[in-house]
Amino acid sequence: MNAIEIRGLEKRYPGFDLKLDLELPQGCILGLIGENGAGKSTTIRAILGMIRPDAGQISVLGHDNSRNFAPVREDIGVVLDEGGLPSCLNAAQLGKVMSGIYRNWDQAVYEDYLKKLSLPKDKAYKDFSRGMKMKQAIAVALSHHPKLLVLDEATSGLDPVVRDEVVEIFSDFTRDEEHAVLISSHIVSDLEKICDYVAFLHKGRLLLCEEKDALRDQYGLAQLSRADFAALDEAAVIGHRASPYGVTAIVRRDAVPSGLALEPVSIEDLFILMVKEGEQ
Amino acid sequence: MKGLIRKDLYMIWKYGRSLLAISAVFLAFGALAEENYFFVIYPVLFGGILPVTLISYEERDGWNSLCDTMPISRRTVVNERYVMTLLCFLALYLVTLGVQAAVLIPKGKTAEILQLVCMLPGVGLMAPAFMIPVTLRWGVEKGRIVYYIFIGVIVTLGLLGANAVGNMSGEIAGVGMWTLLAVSTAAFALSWLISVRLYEKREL
Repeated sequence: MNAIEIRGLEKRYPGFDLKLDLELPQGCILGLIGENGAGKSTTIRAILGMIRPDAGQISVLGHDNSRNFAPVREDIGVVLDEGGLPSCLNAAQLGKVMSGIYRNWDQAVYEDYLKKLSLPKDKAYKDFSRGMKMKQAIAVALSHHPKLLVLDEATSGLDPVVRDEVVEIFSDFTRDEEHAVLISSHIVSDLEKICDYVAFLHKGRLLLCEEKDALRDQYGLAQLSRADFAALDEAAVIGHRASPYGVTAIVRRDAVPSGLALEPVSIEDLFILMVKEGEQ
Repeated sequence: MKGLIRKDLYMIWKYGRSLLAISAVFLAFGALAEENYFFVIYPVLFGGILPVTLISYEERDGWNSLCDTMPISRRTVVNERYVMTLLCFLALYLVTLGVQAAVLIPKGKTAEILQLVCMLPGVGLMAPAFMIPVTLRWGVEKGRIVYYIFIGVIVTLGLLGANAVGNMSGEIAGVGMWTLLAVSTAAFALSWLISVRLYEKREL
């Protein structure tokens, strides 16, 4: 079963519209990558039933999210960019509040996360650093035994040590095959380490959604002269960047001459060059 | 709803303590200043709007969005807000009536107490009845505008009403007071229904 299935989603705002089909299989981590304003938060808000789509269906953990969705949220852990936890409350108070909200709230698991993430119980949330706030939000999101974790820009701006801790937590979480994670970011390197699947979103459209390892197998980075680049089959080129010294191109490995030297492509290069190609 | 009420109580303790302290001072002045309703009305008004003021803190923190990802329906979110408003209003309403009764009964002014019983909900329930739907649907800034308009209207109506009641016979004034109680209670109930509808339609 897919943890998330989006079919024909459409959402229109003045100056922006989102059209999307997307799937997140259970047991996987999907990274939703896009520049600011690409539609990542709109997608996440539509998945969580916070906004009403103009068209399309969204199924979350096998439930249509347009019908009596509140009970399904018992199985979803969410971390939003803004945090969202009441800033005057400390970790101990947050635990008491959440125990009255989630039927499956597990105080022992929560206390364990607070300990593991070095979060003080008596310090107000507003006095935490950005990294600590994120860790607190993750502790809350994971302490009611969710099956799906949804994180909107949760790793943006975290220092490498905290990011590493967070990556480890997500890896532990997806060891259970029934669990899945959807994580969005505009910082590609944040997601490169974490994800099994990556989806590129640009101006409200899905440019690509693939298994991360398959992307590396399918695409390569070529450094070419202008003449060699011009000789390539247009369909083989996914994206390119020209400079006075030549052309850097991302190409399909199976559509270029076998002798062409190709370097492994990073997700970041792939995303940037695909977006630029789309704009050209 | 238990978790939401717990959260509101923590927040009231944190942010509402100064309002409660001011209310206590006003109650004391109200007990000393005879027939000056200004000091009597304000604690009840504070009680009614205390849970509404929490919405501005929640909006700043982004709680509305996070709460919308939790296993709580929007109807429950609105219901909790009105339950908390009623609880806070009732607490300050009863304390105010108690203080006034302690002052007025020894002087034999029981009619004035009855007047307060009817008049105070007109202030304490009407303010949140207008503010909550606007704040939940369009945000705190617009809710604040409604609050200032409400205060202006209340002061104007209060002055006009006081003159009118002074010119009325006791029986007609009594009917007017009970009508005020009925209207404010009905407005609060209607506001509750409208807020549920508006909040269910809001995109967060």
